[in-house]
Amino acid sequence: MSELGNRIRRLRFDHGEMTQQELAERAGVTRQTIIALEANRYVPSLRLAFRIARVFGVTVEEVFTLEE
Amino acid sequence: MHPQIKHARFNLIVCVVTSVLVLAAYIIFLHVFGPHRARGAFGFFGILGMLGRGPVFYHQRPGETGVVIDERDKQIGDRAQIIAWRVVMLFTTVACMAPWVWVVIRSGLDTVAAPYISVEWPPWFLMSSVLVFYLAWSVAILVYYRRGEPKGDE
Repeated sequence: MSELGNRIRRLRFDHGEMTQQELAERAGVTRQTIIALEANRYVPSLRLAFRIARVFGVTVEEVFTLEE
Repeated sequence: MHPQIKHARFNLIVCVVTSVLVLAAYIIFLHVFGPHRARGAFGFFGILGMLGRGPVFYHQRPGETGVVIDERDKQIGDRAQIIAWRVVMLFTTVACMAPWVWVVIRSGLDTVAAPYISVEWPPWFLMSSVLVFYLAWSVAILVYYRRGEPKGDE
């Protein structure tokens, strides 16, 4: 079974220590969802994955990884 | 605290209070007024009308911005609703079949007469189903938020 990982926390700190709240507002979700994403407890929709990648100005593959 | 969690907690409290009051009132009325009038206790099901207060939890005050409900919350809400419907179906099946089985076992299939159902039963059954639905929905919501699931499309 494949596991979806992400580098959201790393990317937040690389972008001027962006807060979870700020990322949530810019991605159009609640802070709880960002917390769940960072803890790998939630798999986002493709739409949300693109929105998060767009906030950081990177591709989806640079944010999310699929580990076999 | 997330509005959907507040909503679930509120519904849970309303359902538990209603159940306790209906049962307590029934027992008290049974001793005080006798079995016929004890059924007046079912009037406490009217408290379930408080469940209509749900949308208030999602209102934003003037000037407040930000997302109230996002895709994860909707997903949790949808899954909780599916669970709640399953529980209601189970409740309905048991509630409909258990009396039938009891009557058949007692009387034998050939001797079961055409059933007479009091007009009190449909509303009582409906109210019970509403209560069971919201109980199951609230518990499922709280469990999902506590566990941090569901895991999306996997």
